[in-house]
Amino acid sequence: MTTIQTTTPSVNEVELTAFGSGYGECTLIHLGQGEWMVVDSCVARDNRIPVLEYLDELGVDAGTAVKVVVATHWHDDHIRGMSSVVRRCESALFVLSAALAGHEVFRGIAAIDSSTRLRKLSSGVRELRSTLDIVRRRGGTGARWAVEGRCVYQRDGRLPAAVYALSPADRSVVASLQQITQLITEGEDRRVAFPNRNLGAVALWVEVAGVRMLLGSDLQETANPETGWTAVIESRAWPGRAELFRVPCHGAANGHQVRVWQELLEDDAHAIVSPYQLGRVGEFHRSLHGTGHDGRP
Amino acid sequence: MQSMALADDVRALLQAPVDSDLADRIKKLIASELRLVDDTLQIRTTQFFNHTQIPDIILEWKEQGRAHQRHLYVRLGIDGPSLALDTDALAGSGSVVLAAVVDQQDTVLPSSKPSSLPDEGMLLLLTAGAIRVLQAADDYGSLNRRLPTAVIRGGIGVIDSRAAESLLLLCDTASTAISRLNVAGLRDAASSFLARFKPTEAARIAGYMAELWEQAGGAADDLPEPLAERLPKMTPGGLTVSAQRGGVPISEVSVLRDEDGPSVEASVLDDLDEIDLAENWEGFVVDVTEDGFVGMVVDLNGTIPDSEVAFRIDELSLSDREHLQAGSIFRWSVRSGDSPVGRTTISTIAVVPPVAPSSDQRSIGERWAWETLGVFEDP
Repeated sequence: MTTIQTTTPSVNEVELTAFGSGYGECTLIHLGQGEWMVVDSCVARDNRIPVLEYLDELGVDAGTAVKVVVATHWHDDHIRGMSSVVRRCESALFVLSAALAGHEVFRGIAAIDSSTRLRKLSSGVRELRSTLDIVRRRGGTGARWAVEGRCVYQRDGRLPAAVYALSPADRSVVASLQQITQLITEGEDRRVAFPNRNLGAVALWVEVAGVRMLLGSDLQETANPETGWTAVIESRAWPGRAELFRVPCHGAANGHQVRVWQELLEDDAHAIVSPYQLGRVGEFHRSLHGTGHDGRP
Repeated sequence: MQSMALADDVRALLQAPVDSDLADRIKKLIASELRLVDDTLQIRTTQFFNHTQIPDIILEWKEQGRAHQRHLYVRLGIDGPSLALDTDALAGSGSVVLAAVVDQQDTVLPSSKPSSLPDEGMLLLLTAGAIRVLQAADDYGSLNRRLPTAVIRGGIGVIDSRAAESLLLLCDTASTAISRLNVAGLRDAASSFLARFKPTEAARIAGYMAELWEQAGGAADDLPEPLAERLPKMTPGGLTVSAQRGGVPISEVSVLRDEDGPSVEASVLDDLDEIDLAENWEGFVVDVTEDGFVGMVVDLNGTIPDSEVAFRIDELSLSDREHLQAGSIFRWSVRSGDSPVGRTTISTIAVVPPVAPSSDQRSIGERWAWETLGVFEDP
């Protein structure tokens, strides 16, 4: 699981490639039939964008083969390089957390981007704005909000595939919007990273020909059962149990909810973490795989 | 003789009751000062005052049959961040910024730090606050070495509050004298002007003049007497190297020892040339812990890979701590310099405080928001 394949998967093969520990976390999934999905973006220490390089290595034309690009939230370690990804994946549907679905938020993104005077450091806000600019210039309705229970991609036929958003829950959307609007209206020169609570991140349920994957993003557990992982579990929006788990919050304790492991995952599910701080995950699961070995992102 | 107190005159005007002619009176005052410096200048005033993009005054002249123009932006009573923004916006435009920054506090807000300074315009700074803003820029040291060879028409000057008007005159006189290698003229100019200043200020002005002298081809060991007299007292050994925070002295007072007299206070530390910039980072706060914070930093010099660094809370000033939270931007510099006690390395961190977007930025953002939301399917 921790080695990087450099052969193109066959049309019937499902492949999950996890990138991380360079700067941030990114997941690439072959949905079968030559169709791909990119979830978040990260960059290597030398500012390369591994997911694009990897697709190039495989000889995959990102412009036509990538069908969905998801920005689960705008933390810098998940969105850095996203504008490059979206630019290359020109035919992909762009999916963004509904926690950002507000005019006030977008206006604030523009305002913060304009008033922030960063010299070299990339900004999550700036990256998001650049990304949205690309999507906007394409016109049409090439973008979709992700909210609990919404199908963001579906393919029927001999090799069916579907991607569902498990979050944010309605209550999380409201709380996130309040939180973001509050920050933005202050007009502060900050990256709008939300340290203690990330209610708006998009967790995804991916199912391709019976193979189920749960991508945790940075969705956190909270004391409020109407938000965070408890809300996901209580929503019962997920069919069956997943055999692949992208561990949320880089393995940190604030993304841990034991019921996820008990109720959403197969007993022998493989868990993949892009470590930030390994947290407590190691105590709970034997089949834990970390990204970033052998000097590769 | 030119007024010694343009800043005071402007300040007095600003304190008078506001009427519809106030802007005109201020412009006329500034224009009259400029005419004293160069009576061949054509000086036009615009109908705008303190406008972001439109200059207040336009300077025009002819050289070798060609017309030249330089815009002058008046910035009176503004705060440090605003001057920094204007400086950034006007850098490279060859414009003149006449700035009087409100001295609201002893130190400059980190947000007042311009990212770059004009490479050919002149900054005529009328208050100590305005000087501090410019000192916060990383290239202040190099800027300060580039001298006002012809103050209005070209070159750059960073001029302190008390010396501003006099130096304006002085440089004009001195550059003329030097360009003709008129040592007597320079000596006379230097003598009369240097006598007006406190030793610290006189030493600085002497430094400017010495540079002019060398630029004009004069030998360093053949400096006109008034300059030679002053310059040895500017040597680094006589200056206390103060710690900097975001380019701003932490200790407001440095002491310059005048060999012939008592110690004098230099209210503005201007010896950045003596400090080598070793490392300069930009970062954002990843996590705040009980006794410090973790930051992701990127090397502005571009030589060291991005790194995650843990900082102790006591590396931040109390005011910076108020702005500390995950996501905050900060600047981190590591400098070293010679001090009386030997080589000293100074690490300083400044958290960037909030900056409000301008009304223009807000209206552009408003339009962008509606257009961008339109590409999303309805939630």
